[in-house]
Amino acid sequence: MMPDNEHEERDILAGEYVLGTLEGEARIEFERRLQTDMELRDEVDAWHRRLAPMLDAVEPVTPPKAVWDQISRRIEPADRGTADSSGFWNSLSFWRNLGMAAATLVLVLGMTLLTTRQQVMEMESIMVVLNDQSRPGWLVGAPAHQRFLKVKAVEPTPLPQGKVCQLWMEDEQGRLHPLGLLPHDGSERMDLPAALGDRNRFKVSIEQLNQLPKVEPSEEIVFEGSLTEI
Amino acid sequence: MAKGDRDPQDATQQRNQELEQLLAACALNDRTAFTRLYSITSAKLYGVVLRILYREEWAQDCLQDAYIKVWNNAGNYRPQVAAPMTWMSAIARNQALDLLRKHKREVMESDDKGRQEQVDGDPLPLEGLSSSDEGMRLQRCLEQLKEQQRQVIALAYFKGLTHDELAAYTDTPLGTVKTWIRRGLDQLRRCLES
Repeated sequence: MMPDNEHEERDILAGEYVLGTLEGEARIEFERRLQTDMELRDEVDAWHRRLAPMLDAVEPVTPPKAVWDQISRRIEPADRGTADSSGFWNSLSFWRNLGMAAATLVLVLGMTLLTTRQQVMEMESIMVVLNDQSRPGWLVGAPAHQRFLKVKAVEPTPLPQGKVCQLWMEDEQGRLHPLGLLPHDGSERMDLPAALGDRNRFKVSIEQLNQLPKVEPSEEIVFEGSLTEI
Repeated sequence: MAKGDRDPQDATQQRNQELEQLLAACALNDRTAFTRLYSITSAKLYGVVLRILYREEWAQDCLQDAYIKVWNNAGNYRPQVAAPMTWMSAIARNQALDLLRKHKREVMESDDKGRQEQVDGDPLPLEGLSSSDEGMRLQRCLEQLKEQQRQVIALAYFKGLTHDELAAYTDTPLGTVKTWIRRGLDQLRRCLES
């Protein structure tokens, strides 16, 4: 346990950091500590929350349209030419049938295409999959008029070696279909077995990586939810 | 829509939920969601950076950079840590204070009277705080501080004034200003947690 006065000192330091009065060397040193010190980060978060209502009272002012035009230009993908690539690049059988060396090469190319594509994707609905701490573990988005989901790891549930989180879709007849494994980091797309209906539910189960079930989850369901239209 | 019919707390919750979803979609590279996020939040954030920077030209550059940060970091947003607006306002405010520090370094040598006037001519908006529960609590706690403590904290928060500048502005020894801030923050935390 940290002595009380030391704890208080850290807390006030965090307050000064958020307030903006921590300067020069002290600020740099504080930011360095923030990289690794989770408790200190919590204190900074708490100060942001405490002081934030001061901004409530600020009158909103509509910015000139030019600001949005600039922002919009800055997030534009560098190359839009490949925006309409087919599902071919992402089809699983394609990857399986390639030799490893070729696969690596194509993977690099495929990733580039994928990133470019991702920039222009509009999500129709979103689901936040909670992790074991009931915090957002993964984001799942369903793009409009597509038969796949985009899944991005945010704060995945830590699992022992050999275990994985498998995502399932329940169709309108109550049958479960395995969609894929929730990624440990980065993002992934998962093809859907059928077009999405209004009432599709999704489930996540924890499975053994070397014995993935195809018909129904073999172990406990750790999450259930559905997509919400945005 | 009859606005008065709705419970303001429900409305806030609903708005937060919408913003959280939009941020999640932004994390998945959804530009349409980002456009919507901007249209809902930009007036608020522009107000914030304008309040801090005062000059429209700077505020517009800063707003741009702030939204690029929101777009790039949407995947790092954590609803359990802060409401979406709190998170985005903090990004905008930090961006504005960084820009202010940069400009201040650049004009360090020149005699920048203009800034002093900006600080003088701009009353701090502490009266409008009571719009939310948190706002009311913060206002009540700020009112318990000594006048000078409240003033230096607000000036640092909204204007990014450093210890030295606060000392010059309030015509008080540096050590005293530092103590005001430290004690003020400490009291504020105790009051808000009680």
